[in-house]
Amino acid sequence: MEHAAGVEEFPRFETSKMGVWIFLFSEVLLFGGLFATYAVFRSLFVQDFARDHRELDVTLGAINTVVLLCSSLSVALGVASIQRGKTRPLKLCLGVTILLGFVFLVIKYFEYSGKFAHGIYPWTSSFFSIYFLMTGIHGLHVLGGVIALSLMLFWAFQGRFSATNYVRVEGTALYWHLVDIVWIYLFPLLYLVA
Amino acid sequence: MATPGSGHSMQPYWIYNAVWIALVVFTVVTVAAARINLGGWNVPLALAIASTKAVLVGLFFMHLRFEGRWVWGFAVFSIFLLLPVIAVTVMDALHGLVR
Repeated sequence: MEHAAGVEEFPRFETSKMGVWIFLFSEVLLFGGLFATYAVFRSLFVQDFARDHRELDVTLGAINTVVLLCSSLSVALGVASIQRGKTRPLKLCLGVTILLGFVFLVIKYFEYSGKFAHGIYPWTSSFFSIYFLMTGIHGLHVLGGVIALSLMLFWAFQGRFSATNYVRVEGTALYWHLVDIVWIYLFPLLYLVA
Repeated sequence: MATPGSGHSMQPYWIYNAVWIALVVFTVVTVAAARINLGGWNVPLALAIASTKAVLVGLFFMHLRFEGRWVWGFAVFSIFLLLPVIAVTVMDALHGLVR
């Protein structure tokens, strides 16, 4: 078992990671469809977009951008740590990433409830239907990422990961980075230049 | 260790921190640029900055620079599949508007 693991490690590592990448590309196409919808709505309802996007709080959007960038850094440092066989920094980094994911969702919650308090709902205008659709689906991805990261933290505490066995951490990190990239596009398109 | 496609891609810690600083700087730049009225250039500029950030995340955080031709093939394929879909959809919508 022990000596066989070294032989098996390499192809399994590669195929697992390939699976994650194929999943990520399907996610790119899902969000691509949403961005296409955004582009069509934006070109059809120019005035709606120009007027309604001013209702969004650029400061909160920018803070959430930095929150996600910090979380991407921490999960990347977590992967870099376990590559070097360091499990304590891995746990710390995973914990920080989960915490930042929650911060993002809490800020999003306050943004949503602020909009509802002002009588703004997904059916208020074409801009807000796109805004709630895209940020909502993105938010669900953040929630899914937090759940996956929590599982990784649980397994890290069980001592399941090492310098030669960390492909699940890396796959989860890749997913988290993609969620970050989607927000990198959503923030300027919805908050800044709509 | 860091041979392309080896799957074990080591990168010094400082690179992650440097990339993070660049990402935050680009975030500040994109917020500042949106305050200036550049006419039709605001959206292309915002998309260019966002794409630069996405490339940084992909290359350094997601270790794309260590990946082999298969992963790169999928990345390039999905992007080049996506761009025409968005472009043609918008052209179709605008065509309906003009008519």
